[in-house]
Amino acid sequence: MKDSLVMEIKHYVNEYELKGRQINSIYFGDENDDLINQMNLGLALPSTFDAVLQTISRYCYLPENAEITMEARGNPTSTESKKLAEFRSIGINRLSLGLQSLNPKDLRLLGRDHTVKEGIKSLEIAMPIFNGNVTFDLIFGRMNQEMALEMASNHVSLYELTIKQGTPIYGDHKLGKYTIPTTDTMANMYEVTIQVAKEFGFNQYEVSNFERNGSFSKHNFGYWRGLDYLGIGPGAHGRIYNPTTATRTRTYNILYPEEWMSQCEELGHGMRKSTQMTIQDIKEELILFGLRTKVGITRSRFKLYSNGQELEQYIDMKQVNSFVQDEFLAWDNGNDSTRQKLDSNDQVWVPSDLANELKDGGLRPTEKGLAVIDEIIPRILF
Amino acid sequence: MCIVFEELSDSREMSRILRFDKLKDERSIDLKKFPAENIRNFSIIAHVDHGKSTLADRLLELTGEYQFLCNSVALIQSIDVFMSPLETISPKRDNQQVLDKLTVERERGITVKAQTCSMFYKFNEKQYLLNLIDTPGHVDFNYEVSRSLAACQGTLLLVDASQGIQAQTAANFWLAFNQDLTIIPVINKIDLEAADTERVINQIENSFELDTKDICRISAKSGLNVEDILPIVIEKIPPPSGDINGLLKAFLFDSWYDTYVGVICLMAIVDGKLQKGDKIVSAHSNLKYDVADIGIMHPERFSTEYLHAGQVGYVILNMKIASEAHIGDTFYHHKHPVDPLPGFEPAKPMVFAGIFPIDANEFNRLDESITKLTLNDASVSVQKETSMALGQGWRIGFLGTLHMDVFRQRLEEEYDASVIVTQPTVPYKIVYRDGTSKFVRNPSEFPEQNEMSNNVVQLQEPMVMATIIVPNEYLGNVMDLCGAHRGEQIEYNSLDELRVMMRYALPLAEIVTDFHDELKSRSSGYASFDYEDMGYQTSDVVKKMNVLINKKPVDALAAILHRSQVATVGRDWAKKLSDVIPKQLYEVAIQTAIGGKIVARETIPAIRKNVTAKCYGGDVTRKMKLLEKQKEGKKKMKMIGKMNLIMNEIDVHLLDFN
Repeated sequence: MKDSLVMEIKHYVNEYELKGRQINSIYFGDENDDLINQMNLGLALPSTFDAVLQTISRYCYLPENAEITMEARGNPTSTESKKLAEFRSIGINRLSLGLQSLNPKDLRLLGRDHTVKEGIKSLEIAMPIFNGNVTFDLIFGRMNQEMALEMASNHVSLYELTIKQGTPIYGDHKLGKYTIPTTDTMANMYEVTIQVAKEFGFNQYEVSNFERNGSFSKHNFGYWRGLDYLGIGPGAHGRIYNPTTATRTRTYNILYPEEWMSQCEELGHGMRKSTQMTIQDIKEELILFGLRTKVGITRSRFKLYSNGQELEQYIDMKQVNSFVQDEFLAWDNGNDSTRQKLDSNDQVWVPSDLANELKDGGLRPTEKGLAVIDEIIPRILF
Repeated sequence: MCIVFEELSDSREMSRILRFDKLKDERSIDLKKFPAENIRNFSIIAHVDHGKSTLADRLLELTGEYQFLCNSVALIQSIDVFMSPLETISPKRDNQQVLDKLTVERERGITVKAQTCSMFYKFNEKQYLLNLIDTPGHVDFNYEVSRSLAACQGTLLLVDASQGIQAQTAANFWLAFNQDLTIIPVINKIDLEAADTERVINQIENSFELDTKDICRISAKSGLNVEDILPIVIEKIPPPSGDINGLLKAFLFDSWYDTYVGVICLMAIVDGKLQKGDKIVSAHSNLKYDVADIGIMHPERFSTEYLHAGQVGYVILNMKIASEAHIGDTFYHHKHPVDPLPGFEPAKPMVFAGIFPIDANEFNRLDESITKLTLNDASVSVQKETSMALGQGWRIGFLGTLHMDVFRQRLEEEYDASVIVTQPTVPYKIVYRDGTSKFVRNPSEFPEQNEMSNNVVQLQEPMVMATIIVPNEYLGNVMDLCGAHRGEQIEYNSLDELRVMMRYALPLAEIVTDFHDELKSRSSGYASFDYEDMGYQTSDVVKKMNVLINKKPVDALAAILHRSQVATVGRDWAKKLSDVIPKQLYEVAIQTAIGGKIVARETIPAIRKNVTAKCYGGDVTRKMKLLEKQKEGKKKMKMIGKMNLIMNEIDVHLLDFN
């Protein structure tokens, strides 16, 4: 596994001419990340992570303040104090804990292999090791949300439970074992969650992400801001500029670890398919991701990725104005005289690296607009 | 390949198949060998489900069978070339009903478009050409039925042995009777347990005064006694009486559009001869045409290049425009005009509805599709229309509501179009104070309240005379229904000790929606219904109801209603609309109103939340696909004020609104 990962990184660095590129963030983990699965079973060694980080820093520029996150579950094996300290020592500076819930019934329902007690314990162990740079996932609208927020550091992800096809819970739901709350109840839970988070000093800076004291996730913002990213390992996805075709490319790696590994050995990479993105794809993706964040899509960022097209030339401004009037969206054309003043309350959702971009204005959702953004986006695009 | 011929033995089956495969390409038929006295033109008239199509299939099979059965297997080789084209229905065909060609027709068990078929039959050592002329089996198509009957000299009146005479049996009987056709009663389904053949024979005797001494008692399904029918057809129905050496007089009784060859006309040659290459002229339009192809339906088109007096077949004239083929028109040879045959009437649509593309970009494509469909159906009238709410579309006139459903289904199935159909309306006649009058075919043209009281002296609505036959036990229910629909009883007759035949004058507007369904449900399916046009009558009690969405009237949803319906329908519509309109970003108020007076109001609260929970790198492909779908969906939405209506959702319910 270790060798294949290293091999794949080297391959992509060559293929996409990434030598010397500065790194924003690294994230170990994802739904299908085999490395994390192995680690959670106590199999993956810190040495593997170390080799990966070494390779990256040898070819690219990995600055001190790069965010290097590792995902872990709330079970004792994956969060053993000594092991976490080892991970910390090789350079991992942020931990993402998949707590999901602090309710025993929920955890069983979700098929988690940790108990509530173990989850809380993991958090307590991890906090000092990572200097409080620990975030966790929680399904909202469940009991003990306040308790979780009390224990939280400066970042949490609060999700609505989504039932995906192929999961055991989906099958049970289809069999009628569970009922899904009504849309009104869902809306209530969403609103209450935002309210409670606020009381604890957390700001909703993206649909499901909350921070306080400026602890935005750099990595998540990387996706939303349109940055290039490489997907390494089985099942990983990437979005990266391809110098050969002079276009942005989406990459899809082989899902199954054994197949991925054997292809790495054969070809040096485990990619199963890549697709070229059109300029239209790039623009739509920026708007789609951007409008899910409170900072929105800035005019300067859009221009950067659109071959110089202005944001207002691309979107349906007639619709936008109507949504602005009804307080679903806020529009700032970067002109001082018409600028909608950002009040101190608004400022909190702007990560410091992005503050500069705002001077040219942009489009962003209001809190009310964010709750229905899936309705709005298709209507402002042609 | 499915072969269902239960009566034959295995060995016979096999020789049939062999024969069919070997000889299917070598065909020729010489129609000159069939003078008028060897021809019979007949139709079958019946109530829905009395077995008309099944009987037609049996006759077609029988004429194919006959050729086979009267020639021994040994003879087959020598007679093949002559015989095989004369086999009307191939053994490849399953038990399906050949004459009903539209899916809609199969689904509903009705025949909308007449399909005609020629059969060859040997009787008393003479070859006969028997033309079975199919008639549309629905009340909407009275004129078409009458034209199809005009191409015949006789008809089989088919009655179900358990159900007896029904409204359509009676209506069709009178149509045939008034055209002096020879009417041969046939009792079908005599093998059913519920059959009461003697009672039905009595009904036929009493109601129609037909001779029932040697009446045919058959089961079309099992084939029982079906072989008796054709000899009777030959013996009782007179041959066509045309003059083969006279000037050409050809009678157009049906037409349809074919994608490959254009308009196909079905004609009965009354006098003279018609050949490929002839130049003929329409008596109605005076347009001149070349005969590009001519032949018989056998059961598909079979070119004979020739037809003469008494014969019936298809003629292809390179007509490009649908409306050129006028049902009931007469054709003659260029420079040899003749008197046109009587009975011609231009199509008279009585039910109008707006049709709009769901996606405005589809307008041009839909326009072409509608044009093509009208080629196939000359009885439809088409006018462009613009709606504030729905954009550009058409106001289309139909002969009735079934006709409308058929048209719409064909548009959707055959042309893959997504359309919005507005509430159907009938043409009202408005008489003004200054003596002028106009017909209103669209609720949006209906005078508003103040104009009504200031300038209009009279409002007239179209009426129909309905024939209803109902078993005694459902009489009360049916009379209540007619009463509720402003019906006035004109006649009441006991058909026998079990059933009653009633005649009601009813406003057409009252029966264009769900009257027929209601009638069926209130009589457990036993009542039958047919109607004919009875002109206009004054009515001062109809009003225009507007539907307001967020206070704006939606022209496409306006309706003309009777005063007594306003309260109920107003409430129902507001409720139904609030159920079908999806939640919007804004609160939506739905009101129904007469003039300035609000009848009902419903409110749809705004959406509070619609946002995907997770969206990171790995989710992007799924999310982008969803966005594409949403943008696609947006095209299907119609903006009314700030509200997006996904019209196909509404539409499904629109037609149920009364």
